[in-house]
Amino acid sequence: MGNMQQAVNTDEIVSRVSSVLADMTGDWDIDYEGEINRETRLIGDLAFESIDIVQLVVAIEGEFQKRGIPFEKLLMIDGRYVDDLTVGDMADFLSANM
Amino acid sequence: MPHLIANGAKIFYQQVGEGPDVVLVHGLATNRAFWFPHALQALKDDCRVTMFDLRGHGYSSMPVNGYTSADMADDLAVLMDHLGIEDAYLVGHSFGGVVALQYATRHPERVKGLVIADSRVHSVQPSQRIADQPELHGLEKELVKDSAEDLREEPHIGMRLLEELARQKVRNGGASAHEGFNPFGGMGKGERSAKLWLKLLDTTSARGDIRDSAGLTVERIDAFQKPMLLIYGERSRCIETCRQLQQRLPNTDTIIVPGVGHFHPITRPRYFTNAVLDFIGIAKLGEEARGSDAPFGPGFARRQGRQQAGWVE
Repeated sequence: MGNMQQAVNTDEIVSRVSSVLADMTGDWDIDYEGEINRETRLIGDLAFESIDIVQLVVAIEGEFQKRGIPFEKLLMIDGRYVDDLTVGDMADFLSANM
Repeated sequence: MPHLIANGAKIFYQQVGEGPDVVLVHGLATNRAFWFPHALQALKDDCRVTMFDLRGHGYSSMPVNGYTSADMADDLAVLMDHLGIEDAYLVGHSFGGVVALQYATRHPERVKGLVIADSRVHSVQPSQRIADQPELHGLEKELVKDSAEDLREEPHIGMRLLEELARQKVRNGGASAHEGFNPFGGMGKGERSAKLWLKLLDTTSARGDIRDSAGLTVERIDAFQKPMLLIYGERSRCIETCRQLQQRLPNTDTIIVPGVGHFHPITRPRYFTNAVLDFIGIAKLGEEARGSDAPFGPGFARRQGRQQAGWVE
């Protein structure tokens, strides 16, 4: 039951994060034409750069009305940015850290 | 998304943490993400950190003019007023340090202390040529070799190399021929940031404005009396500014970061963050600091400044 509840919550988070990303990237000149979903990669598909990640952090905190989420645990390894991450990675992280 | 209108520009900002106010001012061709991996993470547990994108950078808008350090200091003034920041420690890297110094000399009552990391101040360092610091490093060698023009006589070589790097990045579709540090961001290709920098240079008054000393005279600098930390890379092309400011302001703390160049807050981050924490009075004596080669502990900067007082001779 607990797992099912978590799965539902994560799906809802995926949906809300996807919506935030769609707003952010709406007027970008990028090749990606598919729907944003759990598998969408921020760098590989949406051509994210560092500033977009930082802005996404602000947008997600606004969307979920929560501050101080430890995003650095998701975004950094040994003081360097991760190579890429998916919407699903972000949703799972938020599910576990909000 | 938090933003405000400052002197006709839409300025995006964000605040993280609680405590004494620290405002971080990034340099040219980058944006507030410059601070995210290291400085923000080091400061946010003890300070309220404000980061913003300078006009023409990051998510902020790109008006056709208003890019002198004085103009951007006016934007900073609007930001601090808007956020109700009565006084703050200002930390600026490169041109961001010049903006912070402009603000600090105009509004000293709003500044608790100033950290200048590898800035070139035009009134004390009017030109910056390859010959002043002839040793070229990895990326610089390629850029000088690949450039269509002879860059050896270029009097603003730091800014010019940033432009050459951006043009190379856009030509190569975002790929960099060099594996080292990427001034256009640590995540993704940085191609959009490179294009944004070229657009700023090619379509606005920025190129000329940035070279304008904009009233930041030696007299104004000499009159500044608040605590100041200069932290410069040993191989930096801005080091003449460090020498000059150190001579003019004898009570200023100075740290030279060994073996690194202009981008030391990223390439040698722990050295930088521990020095900033020490300067603003927050000593981090945890395992992390002990295990690193970085300076830490109360009074480090002052001791270091005295030790290095002779190196300008």
